[in-house]
Amino acid sequence: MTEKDELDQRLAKADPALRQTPPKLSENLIAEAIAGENRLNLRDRFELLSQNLRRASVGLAVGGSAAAVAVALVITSTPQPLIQLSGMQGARNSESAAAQLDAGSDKMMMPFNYFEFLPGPNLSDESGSGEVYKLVRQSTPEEVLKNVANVFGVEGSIKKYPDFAETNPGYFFGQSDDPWGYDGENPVISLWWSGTASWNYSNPIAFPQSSCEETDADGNCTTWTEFQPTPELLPTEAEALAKALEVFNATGLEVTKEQIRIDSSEWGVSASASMYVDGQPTNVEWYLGWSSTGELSYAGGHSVAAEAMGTFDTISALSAVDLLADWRWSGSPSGIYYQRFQPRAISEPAPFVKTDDTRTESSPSEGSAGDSSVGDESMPEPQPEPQTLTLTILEAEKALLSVWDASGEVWLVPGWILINDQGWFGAVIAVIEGVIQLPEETDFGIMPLPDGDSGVSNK
Amino acid sequence: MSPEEFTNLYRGFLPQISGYLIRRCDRSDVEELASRVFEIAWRKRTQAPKGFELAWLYRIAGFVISNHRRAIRSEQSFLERFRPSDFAPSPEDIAVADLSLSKAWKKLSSFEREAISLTAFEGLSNQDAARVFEISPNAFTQRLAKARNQLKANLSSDS
Repeated sequence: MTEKDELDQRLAKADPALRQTPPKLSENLIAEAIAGENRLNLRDRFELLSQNLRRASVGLAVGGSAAAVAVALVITSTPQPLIQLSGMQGARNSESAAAQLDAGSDKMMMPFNYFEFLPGPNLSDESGSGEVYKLVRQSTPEEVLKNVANVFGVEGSIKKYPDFAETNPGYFFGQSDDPWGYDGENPVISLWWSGTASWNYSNPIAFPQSSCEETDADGNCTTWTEFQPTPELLPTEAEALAKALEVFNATGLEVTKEQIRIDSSEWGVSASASMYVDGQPTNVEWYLGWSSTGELSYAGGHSVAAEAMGTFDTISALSAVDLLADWRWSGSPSGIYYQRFQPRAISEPAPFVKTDDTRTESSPSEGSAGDSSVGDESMPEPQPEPQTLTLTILEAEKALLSVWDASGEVWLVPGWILINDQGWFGAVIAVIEGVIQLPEETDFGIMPLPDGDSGVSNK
Repeated sequence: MSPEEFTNLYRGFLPQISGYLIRRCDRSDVEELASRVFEIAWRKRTQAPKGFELAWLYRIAGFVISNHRRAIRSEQSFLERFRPSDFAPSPEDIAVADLSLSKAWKKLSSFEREAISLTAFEGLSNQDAARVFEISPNAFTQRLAKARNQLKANLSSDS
């Protein structure tokens, strides 16, 4: 028996799939995934928020915040659309009230709810106009990375990520030899040279590491180190503000202490600030965070400046309510709005529909055809009943919303923050349709699959 | 690509995706994560490399797993969500069958763990596995050999 054979045999015996029979996934899952493009649950939205945070970037020498070039031009209509929105718009900008309130937990399949939006009595039917900005990347990837590396004291060299196209490449700066820059030991700065040219600093050794404290007779770990908060190691709010101001200014965000938001717990501290354009906060944000060890562990920003593209007609708040249900009209507002408005439950929690806590810890032979958990997989599942929920829009505020166009560029457009009677909001683009070309709606019609068709193999 | 074409092409990969996920997450999460994998695949369907759709799905599934793990960790601490990506089978899952292998596994980098997993567990060829990382087959072959040697060295040093 060769050495390779021995290793492969040990690996084969250790395959985690041998101890847990993979569930048989229904083909309906694909159809539902296709249909799911138009709705995002609360967790998805938070994940997108997280992505937005990590997409934060620098406005280096040019000064990202208010480097807007004013163009004294009022445009009431355009022969060609100014912005052709991305088909990913609904995924990138997911603030519709329906999406936010159609929340589900990790363990529960929630019924898909239909939402109906009604205008409240105080909404204005007055249309107007607003400035549209294009976010233009500044400097070069090399200069951005060098500047950020200097700010955080990171040593290393610039490498290109292997999976990015030449038109929008990604880079990282650090000492890691890993193709993705993460070796779990060295700090790394990532930069995505598309959209707002966002960069992200991550220091893996700033996080506490878990270790095994007790093992059973077979040597399996039974007790892992339980992390304890160490608030005494964390910076004070004043210290965090001072450091955030220093880092944000050094990486191109012109911001004052008053514009920096601090979020702290016994587990860590984070600071964030929006890039302001024409006095309005945007979702182009810088952030900085300390782990429970008190070490600076992550940060992010952008290298971008806003270029004014002209003033365009906008729809009224009343008209905007009609667009709330269409994901293609959603835009991304500043994180400030998420701090101001928090959703609350609008109905009783949906019934627990499906869970599978049946874990097969037995040997492979025991987890075969006779396994009851496998048998359960083939049983038809109860179908959740959708319900229609009515939300009344009580107030509206003007805001600058970011949207992605079809070529991967980011724009800031006038929008409406529509606040509903459940305390949450939807962000709707207010620019008239002639200025913006919407992506096509998706056809969700799925034909049933023929019996006996086993699908397409990859080999 | 129409929804029908997408469904016809990708439904054959459901068992493989289920197997990939069961090695990396709790069984009760498999269905939801698989749904997320196919949602992303549908949105990015124009980017799928023809003939290497499964490798492409594994790549998406890797990112989904990574985000899922971050989400779980962030329940303990928000800051945990910013930890580096890691979507290979965990040492804890390996430890159930082979403790010493688990210890050796833990000392590998996330890339090394995933490279070995894709070939040993998912059964991909080097060419297909290289697609998952979007590096050349030659580069993957070299890095896989290095990863396997490192795993052997870790096993030897622990024994």
